[in-house]
Amino acid sequence: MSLWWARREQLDDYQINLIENLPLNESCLVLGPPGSGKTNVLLRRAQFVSLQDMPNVLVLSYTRPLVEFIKTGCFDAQGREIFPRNCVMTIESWIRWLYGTHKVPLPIEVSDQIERKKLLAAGAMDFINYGLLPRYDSLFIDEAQDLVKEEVDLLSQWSAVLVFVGDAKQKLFAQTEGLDVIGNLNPPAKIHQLPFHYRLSPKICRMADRILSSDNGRTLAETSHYEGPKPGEIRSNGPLTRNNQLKLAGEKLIDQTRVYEDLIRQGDRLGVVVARKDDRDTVLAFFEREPQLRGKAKIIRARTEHETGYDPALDPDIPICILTVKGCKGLEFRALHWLFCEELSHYHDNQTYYTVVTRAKTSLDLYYSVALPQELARGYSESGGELW
Amino acid sequence: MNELNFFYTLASESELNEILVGRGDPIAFHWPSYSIPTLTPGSTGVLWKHTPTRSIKPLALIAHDADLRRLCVRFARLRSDLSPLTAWCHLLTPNQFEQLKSPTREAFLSNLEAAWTGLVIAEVVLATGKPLKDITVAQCLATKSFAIGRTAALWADKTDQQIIELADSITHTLQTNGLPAQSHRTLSNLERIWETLLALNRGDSFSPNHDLRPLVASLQELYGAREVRFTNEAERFARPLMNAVPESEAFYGLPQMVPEQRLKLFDMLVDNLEKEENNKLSLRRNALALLAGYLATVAAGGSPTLSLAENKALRFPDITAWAYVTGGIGERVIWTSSFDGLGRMVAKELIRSFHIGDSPSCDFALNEASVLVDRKLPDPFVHLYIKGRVATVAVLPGVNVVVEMDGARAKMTENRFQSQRNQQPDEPLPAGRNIFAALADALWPHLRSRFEQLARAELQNDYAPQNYNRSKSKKKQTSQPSLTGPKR
Repeated sequence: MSLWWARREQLDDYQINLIENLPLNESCLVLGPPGSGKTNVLLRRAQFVSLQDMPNVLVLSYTRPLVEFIKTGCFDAQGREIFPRNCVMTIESWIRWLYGTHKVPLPIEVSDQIERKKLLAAGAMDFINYGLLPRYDSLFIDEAQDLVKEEVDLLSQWSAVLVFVGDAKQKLFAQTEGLDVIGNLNPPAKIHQLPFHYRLSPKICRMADRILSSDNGRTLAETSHYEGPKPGEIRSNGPLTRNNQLKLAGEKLIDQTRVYEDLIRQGDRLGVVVARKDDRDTVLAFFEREPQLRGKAKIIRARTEHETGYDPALDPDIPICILTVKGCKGLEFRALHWLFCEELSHYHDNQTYYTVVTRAKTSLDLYYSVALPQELARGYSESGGELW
Repeated sequence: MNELNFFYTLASESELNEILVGRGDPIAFHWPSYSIPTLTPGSTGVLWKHTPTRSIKPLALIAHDADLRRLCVRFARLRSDLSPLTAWCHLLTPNQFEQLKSPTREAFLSNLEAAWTGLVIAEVVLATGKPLKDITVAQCLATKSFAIGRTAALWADKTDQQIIELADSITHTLQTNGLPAQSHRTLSNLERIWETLLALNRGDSFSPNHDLRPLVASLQELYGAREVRFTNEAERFARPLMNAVPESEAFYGLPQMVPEQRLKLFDMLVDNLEKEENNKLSLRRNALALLAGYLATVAAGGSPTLSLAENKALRFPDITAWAYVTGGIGERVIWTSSFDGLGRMVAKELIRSFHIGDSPSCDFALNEASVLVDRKLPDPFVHLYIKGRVATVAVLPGVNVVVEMDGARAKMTENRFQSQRNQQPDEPLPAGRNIFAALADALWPHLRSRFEQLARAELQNDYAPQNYNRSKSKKKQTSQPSLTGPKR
C-alpha cells in the first residue's frame, strides 16, 4: 500500500518521535496540516503501544469511509496484517456497541447529526460504572476537531491515555468543539505539531492557502514536501448542464484510470464528490452506462442499520469512489472531481471548502452549472488565460 | 586465493588421464605469474590446483576447438564417470584462456546494469504474460537478454554479432527458447534493443548499423541528463530522434504536460507506430517504440504507468521492453527492491565476477552439449546426465543460463517424429525418384526400431571380451570422431 508509510525510513523525524518516543501513559493531541501523516502516525502509534504489552487499544475515527481507509493501512507491503483491523471503527459504532454490550436501548434517533452524536455519547456516560468491561490501555482518535464535548468526556472515562490527531482547519461542523475540549482535559493532553506535509501538489496548496489563512504563519505551500506526479492541475469546468458535467467528468476519469493505473494498483483512488446523498446514485448510474467506466466506481458511505447487501470496504479493483462532501473527510484522492459544486453552498463554510480541496493530491476538477462559489473562485485562477 | 596456488601443465594424453582423476606429478608452471608453453593443435593444457590433501584438482582444460570436441566425446564414451567434463571443470580455448590474465574476471556493464536487468525482466513479463510478483529468478536466467547481457559483461572482447549468435546457439543446440508461448515474436522484437544496449555498453555512438546510432545517442543523452539531474531530461532524450521522428518535439514540453496530456501523446505515438508496423527494422518504427516506452515510465507526471505499455504488449512488445530499459538508464543503485525484489537478484547475476578457481556451477557447457546431444536417441540428452526438469547451461565460462529441459526434449522428439512423418508415402513423389526408394522410406519408420535393436545387440557382441579386437578394427571405419588423441 503506497499510501501508508509502514516502514521507519519512510517517516520524518517528527513522525518517528511521536510514534516511538512519547511516554506510554501520556495523553496527547497531534496537530498537522492535510497530508502531514496524522492518521499514519495515529495508526503506527497504536501498533507501537499494543506491542508494549498494552494490547487493549482501539483506533476510532469519524466516518465509515475513513475507517475503511484506515483499515487498508493495517497491512504491510506483503499484505500481512500488522495491526488488527477489527480494532478500527467509527466512534459512533463503538458507542452503539457499548449500548448493546450493556443491554441499554439506543436513544431516540434525531435527524441532526451533531445532536445525535451528543445524545448518543451522553446516554453512554454511565456505562463505565456497570463494571462489565475493563478500561482500555489506550484509545486513539482521528479527526478530533469534529468531536463533541460529550464524546471527549466519554472517551476519557474509558481510558486514561488518549491520543488525538486533528486539524482545526478541516472542521466540517460549526457546532463541534473537539479541540477546545481536549485542551481542557485533566490531566491536560500534551500538544504536538507535525510541521511538514507530503501529499498536496503546489497548486492545490496555493488554492487551499487562499481559502483559509495559516494560523501558525506558515502556508501549506511553504511546508510542502510533495514528490508526487507533476505538474498538478486545477480546472474549473462550466457553466455546464448537470448532464454535461457528468459526461465531462466521465471522459476525464476514463483517461485518469488509464494514466494512473500503476498508482491505483498501489492503493491510489480517484474521487467524485457531490453535495447531496441522492446525487451519489445519479453519478453511479451515469458511470455504469458508460462501457469504459462500468464496474469501476463505487459509492462509499456508512451502512444503514440492518442493511446487509452493501459492503463499505474500499475495493482494490474499484478505483473510483463516489462520496458526499461530508463523507470525503480524512480521505485522499490522486484526482478529485467535485460535481455540481455550487449546490448546497449555503451549508458550506471555508473549512468545508478547504477540507474538500485538500482531498485532491495532484488534480482537482470543479464542475458548476451557473457559477463557481466565491470561496473556490477566489482560490483559483486559470494560468496563462488571455485578458482580451 | 593466492595466485601462486594455480598451476598450468601441458599434458600428454596419459598425463591428462591421471590429472583428471586427481593423480600424477606433472611438470607445472605457476599461473598467471609465469609465461606458459604455447599450445599446439592436438595438445591439452590443464589449469589445476592442489586440494587440501595435496591431490590435484583440475580447474580448466585448454585446447583448440576441435581438440575440445574430441575430448568431450572421448570421455563420454570411455570415461563416462567423468562426463560431461564441463559439469566439474571449465573448457577454454587458448584465446579465452589468454584473455583471463588473472584467476578472477570482473563483469562490467558500463553502469547499465539496471537497464539490462529491466530488459531481462521485461522479456519474462512479455513471454509469460505474468505479473512481476509471479516471476522467478530462474525464469529471468532463462532469457536470451540475460545470456546476451551476461556475455557482454564478462567477455567484452566478443563482437556484438558474436554475442547474439552465442545466445542463439542455445536455441540451435538444445532446440529450446527457454521460455514458453509468444517467445519467438517477443524475441524478434527485442533484437534492436539488444543491439542498441550492446553498442551503448561499449560507449559506441558510431555503431556499424546506421539505424542504431540515433537510438544509442538518445539513451546516451538520457544517461547524461540523469547523471547531472538535468531538469528537462525528456528534451535531451528526444533530441537525437528528431530527424527520424518529428513527433519527438512534443517531448521538449513534457515537464509542463499534465498526466492526461501525456496519455494523449502516448496514444498518438502508438497510432503512428501502427502505421509503421510493416517496416519492422526502420529507424522511425524503433524510435517511436523507444519514445512510447520512455513516456510510459513518466506518464503519471514523472511516475511510471507501465501498464500503458503492458496493455499494448501483444501488438508491440518492444514498447514494454524499452520502458523497462529506459527506467534503468542512469540508475546506479541496483541493490534496491526494484521489480518486486527481483531486480537486485538479476543484477547480481549479471555482474557476478568469474573465478576460474571455483568449480563450474553449470550442469554442462553448450560447446560440450553440441557434441554430446544425440537427436537420434529417444532421450537426446542421455549423455549429459540431466536429471531435473531444468538445467544450467554455460554459454561461455561464467555465463550460465537456465534451460527448461523437458520442453527441449519434447521439441526434439517432436522434430524426430516430424521428420519421419515427412517421409510418409502419401507425400507426392519427387520427380525422378525411384519407386523402391520411396517404398523403403515408407517402411523405414516401422523397421527402424527393429534395426536399432539388432544393431545394439551386435554392438554389445562386438565389445564382448572375445570380440574386442574385432570391434576396434570396425570402429576405425565409422565416421565418429576418433576416441583417442593424436600420437605425439
